[in-house]
Amino acid sequence: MFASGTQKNHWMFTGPEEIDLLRQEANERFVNEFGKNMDEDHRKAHFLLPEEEKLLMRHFEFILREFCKKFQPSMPKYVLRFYIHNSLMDFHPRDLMLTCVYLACKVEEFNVSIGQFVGNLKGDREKFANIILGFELLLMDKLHYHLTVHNPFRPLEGFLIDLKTRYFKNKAEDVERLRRNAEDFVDRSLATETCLLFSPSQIALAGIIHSAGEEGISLDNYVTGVLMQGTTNEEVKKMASQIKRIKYLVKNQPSLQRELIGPVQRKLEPCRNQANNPESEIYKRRLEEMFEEEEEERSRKRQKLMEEERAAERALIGIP
Amino acid sequence: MHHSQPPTSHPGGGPIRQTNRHEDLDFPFCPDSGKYEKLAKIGQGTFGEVFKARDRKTKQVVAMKKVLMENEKEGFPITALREIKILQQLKHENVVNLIEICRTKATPYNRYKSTFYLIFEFCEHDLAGLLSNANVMFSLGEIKKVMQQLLNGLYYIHSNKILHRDMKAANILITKMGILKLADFGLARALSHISKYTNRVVTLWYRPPELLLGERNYGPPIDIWGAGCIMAEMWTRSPIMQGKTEQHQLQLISQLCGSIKPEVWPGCDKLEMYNKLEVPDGQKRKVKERLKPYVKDQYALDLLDKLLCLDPSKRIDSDSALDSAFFWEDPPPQDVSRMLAQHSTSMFEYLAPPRRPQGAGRPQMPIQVRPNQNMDQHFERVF
Ligand SMILES: Nc1ncnc2c1ncn2[C@@H]1O[C@H](COP(=O)(O)OP(=O)(O)O)[C@@H](O)[C@H]1O
Ligand SMILES: [Mg+2]
Repeated sequence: MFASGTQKNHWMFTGPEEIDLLRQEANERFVNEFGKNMDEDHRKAHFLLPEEEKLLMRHFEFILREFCKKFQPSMPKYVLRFYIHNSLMDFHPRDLMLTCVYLACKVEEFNVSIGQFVGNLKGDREKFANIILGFELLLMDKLHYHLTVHNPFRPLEGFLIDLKTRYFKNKAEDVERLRRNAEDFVDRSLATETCLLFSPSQIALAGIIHSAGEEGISLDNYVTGVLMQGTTNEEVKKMASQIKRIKYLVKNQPSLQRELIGPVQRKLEPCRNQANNPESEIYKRRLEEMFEEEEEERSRKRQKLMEEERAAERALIGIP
Repeated sequence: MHHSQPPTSHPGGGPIRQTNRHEDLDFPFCPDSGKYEKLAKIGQGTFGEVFKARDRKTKQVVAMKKVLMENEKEGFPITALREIKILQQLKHENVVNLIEICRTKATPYNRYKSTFYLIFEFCEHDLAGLLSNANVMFSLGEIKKVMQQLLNGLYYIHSNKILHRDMKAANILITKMGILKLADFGLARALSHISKYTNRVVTLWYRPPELLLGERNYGPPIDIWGAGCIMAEMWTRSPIMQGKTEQHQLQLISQLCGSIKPEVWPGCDKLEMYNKLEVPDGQKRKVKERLKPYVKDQYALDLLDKLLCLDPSKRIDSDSALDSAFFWEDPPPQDVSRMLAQHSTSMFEYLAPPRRPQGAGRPQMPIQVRPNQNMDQHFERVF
């Protein structure tokens, strides 16, 4: 279903450069909007730079991966998609991340209520619930309602079965030995841009090959002789270079540079879009306005009903 | 209060708001529901209303299914989420096409007030509406065409590991060109999410015996049972087993398909409700015999008999059903577009009078396990 789904059409990019560019554009849009009256130097000092957004994004990707392990590592990582077209300054990744995982739980049929979900979190649970439910619709919107995310775990299972039946006949244990490292590889790939660049089955294959390498097993003959049997040399070469790129991307994730995170996070606070900050005055005011508006509308309706009733009564007793 | 202003459209299709303008620059998708002009209400479902509407710009006619957000303590309703997710994966001539999702306004503050719409390709009729109109007459060839498309749709969704779980005539749409579309995936589930399903799915009259007996590990055969009920309905013109309660439904099933017992359905006695509900004993299977007065075609009766098989593991699957003689013997399946062309108005269940020609207002006889001779009498009334 991957081949015909929304993922291939909307959420696959040509390379890290394209993703960087889109994120840079999101950053620029935000700065242009909120820094209208600032000069270039002031803007640089006040807003997150694209590199700083990237750094923070990586930090949250890591947290997300750990957080998802509590549920199921294969669950969709909507955060990655969300921040391709949105700046971290517009929506704080902390808020969005929770929302993403909650939505993913629903999509994956985990059957957790919002109460149970925030029950897993430390801190003000009611506040978390409000944040999550407040951002959920917006998140779905920004994801264009593309909720299905195909992950490499299923194709990985397919490769393992294929290896057992077509290549390592009678040596099922050997194949099972490949599983752990391959799954770990796939898991690591999920919190990176790799899944925005390569198809789930390519990533799964890279995972198997990586794992085999660790075990000192060569799968070259399997890939060229069995898997890609009947394809042209050209295609085999292309596949090999893709696998190499995936392995490179997953294995060479830049280290987190924790000492840099703190300052960037502090820089984020004053430049955020306060209208999307549930803690801010303006957010609370708008929420109130919304309720007031509803109340006004209700009282208008009540008023109208009462007038109608009164008119009806008057008509009944013959007063014009 | 920017969020209370009437939405306007820009060339990209999305709403422009006074503040946060940058948010929308990227999103030509997710348009405002103001893009469509409502023409008429055509359905009132469990979860919301359905409207016939027209794209103001392209003039394309669509169906808008409302998703109510009021009183949603868990956020976006999971049923709508499933329907969206599943329909995005299904693209087939015999499955209704989801065009897009629309919403009224989008800010984090107005979640209780926002309304979502699922926008579908418009189909002129639903099968319940057609069957309730006595002027709409299906020939044998046309019934074959309807059933062939229905089973084709089921074959497609089942091979994509999706269960529909709400087969009934009102959820079967037919375009004026005679193309059948399975619709209403609000209860549908992916088989890959197998754990233990709830067995409280499928409208009672179309609910298969395994669900009534509490099976939670069910599969595609539940939709096939519904297909059998719908097929019979093509001739009887109203649902063939209109139970009042689960117990009653089980009784009606036994009267038609014979007693439910381990000899015909090994393992049925292990199901949770087998001993809790009264399972009528001593009933003979009379599917063909009972339906014969309505269904004259022998091949049709053969197929009905296989679709309405008590044991889900022995019930025919859509693939084999499509291979059955019914579809290959004369007369061949015949397009229904010509017949439909004689009718200029849309027919929907919502717009039709209740489909109970006989006994609609009469009090129901109390249902008990009766001696056999009374069964016939009861049976007559149900048809
Ligand atoms: N695409 C459509 N074209 C025409 N009518 C439709 C369409 N979708 C739904 N309807 C009508 O609306 C009714 C209710 O829609 P449905 O999807 O079944 O919602 P519910 O879950 O509320 O039953 C259907 O029985 C049918 O009459
Ligand atoms: Mg319906």
